[in-house]
Amino acid sequence: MNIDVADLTRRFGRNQAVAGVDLEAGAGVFGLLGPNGAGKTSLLRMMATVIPPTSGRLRLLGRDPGASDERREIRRRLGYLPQNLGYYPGFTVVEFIEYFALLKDMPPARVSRAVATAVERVDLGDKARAKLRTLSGGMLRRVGIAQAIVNEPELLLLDEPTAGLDPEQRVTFRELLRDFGERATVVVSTHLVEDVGAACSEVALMDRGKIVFLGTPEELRVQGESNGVGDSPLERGYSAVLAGARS
Amino acid sequence: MVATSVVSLPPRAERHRAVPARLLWIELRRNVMPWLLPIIAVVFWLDSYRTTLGQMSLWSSQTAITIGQGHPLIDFGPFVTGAAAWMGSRDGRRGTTDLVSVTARSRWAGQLVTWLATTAWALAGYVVLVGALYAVIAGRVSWGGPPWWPVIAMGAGILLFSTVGYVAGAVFPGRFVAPVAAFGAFVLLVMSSHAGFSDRVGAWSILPNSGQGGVGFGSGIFYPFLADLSLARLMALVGLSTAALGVLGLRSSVGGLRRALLAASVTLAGLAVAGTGIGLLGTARVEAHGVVIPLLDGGASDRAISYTPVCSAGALPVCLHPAYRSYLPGVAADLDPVLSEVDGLPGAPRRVAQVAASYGGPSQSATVNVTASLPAFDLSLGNLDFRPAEIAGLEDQLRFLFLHAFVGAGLRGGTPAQQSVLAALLSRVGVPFARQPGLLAPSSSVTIGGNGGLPGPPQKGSPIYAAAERFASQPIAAQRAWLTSHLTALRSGDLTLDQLP
Repeated sequence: MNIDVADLTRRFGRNQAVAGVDLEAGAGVFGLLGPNGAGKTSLLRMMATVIPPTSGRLRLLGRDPGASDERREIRRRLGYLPQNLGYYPGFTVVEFIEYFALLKDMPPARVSRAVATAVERVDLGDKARAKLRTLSGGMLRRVGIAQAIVNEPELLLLDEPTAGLDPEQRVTFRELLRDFGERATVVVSTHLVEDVGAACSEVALMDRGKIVFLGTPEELRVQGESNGVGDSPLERGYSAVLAGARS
Repeated sequence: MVATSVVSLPPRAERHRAVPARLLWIELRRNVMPWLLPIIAVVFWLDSYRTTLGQMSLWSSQTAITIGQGHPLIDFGPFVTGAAAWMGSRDGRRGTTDLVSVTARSRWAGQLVTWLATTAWALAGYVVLVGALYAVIAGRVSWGGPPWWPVIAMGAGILLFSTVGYVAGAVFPGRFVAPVAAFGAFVLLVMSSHAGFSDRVGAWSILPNSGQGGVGFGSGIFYPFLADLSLARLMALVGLSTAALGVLGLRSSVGGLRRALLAASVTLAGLAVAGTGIGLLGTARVEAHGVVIPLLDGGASDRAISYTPVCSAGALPVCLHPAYRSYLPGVAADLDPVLSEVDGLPGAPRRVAQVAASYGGPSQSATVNVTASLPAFDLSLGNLDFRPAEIAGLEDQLRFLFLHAFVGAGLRGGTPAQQSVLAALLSRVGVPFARQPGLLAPSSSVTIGGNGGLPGPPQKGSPIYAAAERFASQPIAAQRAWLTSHLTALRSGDLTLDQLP
């Protein structure tokens, strides 16, 4: 299993953001759904080794992120797109992606090719030499995705990756996710249930720091057949599971 | 879609070789520091460059104020600190902290690359501007070579300001950290400059803009430029910079014991070096040839630079250091009347010889001083801040100083009898009584050394003035006869006004 989580918790002062999560995931695209404040971003940040867990077990790519040497190996194989992507306005697209490729300890000889590949994958070839300050929000999001995938990660963590993308780009992006899911573990945290339906092989629904549903998108759809609210079957499943968890 | 495969990693050592260079190249290209260099260059031109070229064309004079008092550091410091703080706060301001903290390469390593690029730009600007300044000076002087250690120590000062600014930005990220850090650096430099004028070897001497930096007006001419102060400063400044970088590493090494230990070691090593440098600065003392630190000196301060003086023709020659060759005709002409006046008298000097201005003595801040040191009279010209052709404007002052030394008046002004004879002799060598009060008046262009405690020329109607008039009215032969028999007693201060003819 690339992700092995058991009874994982995370507290911020008196607020418990993640309250005993159990999760296992291998290769494939894993969707993480939930309302605002459900704990998705905190869980993702722990898996990205940004923050340590308060308690519980967390193993990534068969390694313990609590040990510095193993954490380094995890990070070398990790791609992460945070919810709020920061960027350096004076950098060009290529420089920004190359910068993170180098920080990820990629072999220098392969960096140029990998950067070019990542830029093409997010369809920013014509903006490769543009300064980041000149790009739109959607383009910046694609730059963020490119820096996350530039090192061909074995574990790709994406927090709201499709925010700001136009429908055409969203379709392309889902294709990219499926491609990566064939050889790596991709975790996508999102509000958009159609992303989950289109790209994910498994989905977890979080509420109040806990996972309240774990299954396939089809199984989530089934949950909403009787009493769900929403425009699509997945949305109805989503609302039905949440209503059930809160009742 | 482009098909790719999972990257297999080569050995770690191979990976580590080229990555920092490429990262550094990106950081150099996208650094804010070069945008500030033109502004720094303008400030440097207004301050350091113009101050330098206003001085006498000697390496010591050209650099004593500019380099010795750290003008380039003042010009660079606030800008460098602000720019470094801006770069240090970049991830905090731009919200990239999460991104950069989950990379395989440690956060500290990434920060060090950014710091290195920022500092490299600052130091490159410093080297170019000081190099240009030195090139201009080299074209103007004809004797000796430049002082290098103060320049290196000042480079370490820029290193410290860049490092502290960067660390401040990293620790307190925000858009206000840069102006606050720049202002803090400016205040620190002003305080250091101000304190240095009154306390050349105190705690403030750690910054190279404090005091004279060991560059005396005789440095590189009569004796070598002393490196003691610069070496101790170098240790202190590099040590503090290293410690600051170690603190940065400690802060970004949360969860990694090995890296934390490395950062702690760097911090401690930096503090140890800085402590040694500061300890050495504490043992510094101002001596005749500059600031000496016994453990670093190695006797260098006592090693005079040999030279063959250039002398004027005449019975009593005036001899100057060859570096002052262009001043010789003017000085000799100014002194000629007094030399003729005292020639043949017992105790008259056989020549006037230029000596080094004392670094710690009153003549360090003075232009000219004459000391009776028979058989020669010592003449220190210090820092003449005018052209050789203008030496003629000094004739009254030079004659006054010469005769002041001749009658043995010393720094205390002399006895009434000495003052009377001095005034009388001055009147005989072309400085009438009416012009004498102007000799000791403060002048904007000329400062006479060693006269701070003088009471001034005799006031008209006073007993001293009357005695001076009486002595001056004597025939020349009578004056010389009296001086021949009484000069020793006059110099020893044993004579009273009543004993004058």
